[in-house]
Amino acid sequence: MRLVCGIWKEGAESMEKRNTNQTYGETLVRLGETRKNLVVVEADLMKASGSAAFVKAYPNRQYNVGIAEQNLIGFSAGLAATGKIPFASTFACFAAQRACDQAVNAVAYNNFNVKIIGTSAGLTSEKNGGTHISVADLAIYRAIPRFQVFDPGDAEEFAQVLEYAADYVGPVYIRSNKGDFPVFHSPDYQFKPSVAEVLQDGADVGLITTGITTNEGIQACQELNRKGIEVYHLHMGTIKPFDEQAVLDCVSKVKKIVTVENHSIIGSLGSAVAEVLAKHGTQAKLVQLGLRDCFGETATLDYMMHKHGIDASGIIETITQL
Amino acid sequence: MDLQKKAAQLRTKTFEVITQAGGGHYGGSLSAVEIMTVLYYDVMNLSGGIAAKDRDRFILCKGHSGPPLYVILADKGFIAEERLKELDQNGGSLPKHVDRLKVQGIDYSSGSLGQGLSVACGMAASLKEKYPDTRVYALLGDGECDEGQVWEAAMLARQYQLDNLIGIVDYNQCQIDGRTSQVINLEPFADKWRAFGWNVLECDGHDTNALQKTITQAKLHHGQPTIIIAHTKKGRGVSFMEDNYIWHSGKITQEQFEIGLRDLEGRG
Ligand SMILES: Cc1ncc(C[n+]2csc(CCOP(=O)(O)OP(=O)(O)O)c2C)c(N)n1
Repeated sequence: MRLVCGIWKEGAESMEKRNTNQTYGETLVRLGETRKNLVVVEADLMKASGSAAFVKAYPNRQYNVGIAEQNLIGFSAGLAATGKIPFASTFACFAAQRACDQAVNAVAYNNFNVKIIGTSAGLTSEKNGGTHISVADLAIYRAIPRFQVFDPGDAEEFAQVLEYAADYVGPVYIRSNKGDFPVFHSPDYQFKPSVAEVLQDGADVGLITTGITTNEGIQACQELNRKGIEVYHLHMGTIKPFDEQAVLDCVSKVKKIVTVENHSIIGSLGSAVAEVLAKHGTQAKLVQLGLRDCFGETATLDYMMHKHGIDASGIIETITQL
Repeated sequence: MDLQKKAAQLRTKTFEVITQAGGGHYGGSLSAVEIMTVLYYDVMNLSGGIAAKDRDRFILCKGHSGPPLYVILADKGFIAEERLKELDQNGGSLPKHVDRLKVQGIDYSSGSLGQGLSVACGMAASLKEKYPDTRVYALLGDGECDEGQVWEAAMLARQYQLDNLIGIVDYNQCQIDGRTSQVINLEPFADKWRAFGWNVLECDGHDTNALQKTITQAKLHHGQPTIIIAHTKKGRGVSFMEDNYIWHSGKITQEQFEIGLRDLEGRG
């Protein structure tokens, strides 16, 4: 077993946890210092995004459109058209569903430089329940031409994706996963867009994770290592453009792959992997973990991750039964 | 029935139930208690039971205010009192955002703001054909009226002369990020509805008598939909929450719970 990328070696238990929303505020304050055109656009959910720190630092660089997500995205397109770099945020469900046509037409079709942050993404919406749990945001944004799509694995990656997005010119969708999560990236980590990270090499089974499921995957791998199962673990922080080569490298070593996502199994990570396998005529068994064509519910994150088999124990169970 | 007293009891119960659930949307739940009380204990025709096709309908557009509605449904025997303990619990059957597939008596599952009035229009248009006396009541948040779809529905209701549709806005003048006047100013609010072709009435949304009178007046109006702008206070009745947008949602301590209970009993 060999750690290929720079993850903390002490193990999941000892990793520092960082809060996503706090990271958002702090990072934007830092990015905004030199990028005077960077502005924040909110839709009555500033509390949920964490942009308050930015507003405090630069009071004149925030807009709040009220509870109006379509307006949020359309307005941001106008800001971008005239030279601003808008970071527009609302709950991921509404960013993708309510404002979908605005994202397609006002942003992507016009190719405006808008950054959309989908907050409380997937099951991290927790007790807000089924109407708020975005099961399709990655699938939706992935299907929109010109959008780049990210589901960062921890706060360090999130911060670096935000920085990348601030400087990349074009539409970007980034998931913000509400809560405190272990930071598995080491301090010298450098985010590279559309490059998957090999977290662990192994010859028995491939594990491909994204967003908050990567931490679960890391924990699962530690247990599986003890059981003598060697897992090739890939973290896909970029959902689009998708790192096809990383998947091909993985299947050159293993013939069974498990994908895990905090999302419907339709249309995002698992689907993207399936497309790569089919396109290259690669023979491999693929098991997709995620929400199986169903909605979320009003419950805690741990409860739902366990229920849908996307926590460490669910991953272990799936892999040992392969 | 003394509705004012009834509402006070239901408010205390709502406060208890949300606290027991580990916190939640106190602000907009407590502001809407009298409105829902008057609808469910006086105004709405539910005599034929939930299954009656001609019964009145209620759309809670601001779906995060489920707790007082659940408390009412339990009090009226539509759901078992025991279930209130399941509010927002893992594996529970009472999600804070009202859910028609989980709770008998809920007419529309909401949580995504701004969509309810359109659904209410659809129900009103369809019910009007067969059951001219049946009414559809829709309770909206004021912040919710930022959503463009509310105004699309407003134009539609006027077009189809949906006088069997009565909208009520819980005008507590608060949303999440601030007071409505600071985030997106709705004023002149009544004039906006008038301009969209609605009959507009206003009243104190915590005075059950005023609400009864105003809704009765709305029912007598023909040819246009009616909107009632009910002036309320977010977090009504709990001293540290009242009229403070910070308490849109949150968790409270045991000490705060006791303060709240004392406040509510004092007002009783
Ligand atoms: C479409 C949509 N956008 C955002 C939210 C998040 N949200 C929930 S409640 C709320 C504020 C609601 O304010 P208001 O309508 O005034 O309700 P009240 O003050 O009566 O609670 C927001 C922004 C949502 N539920 N739906």
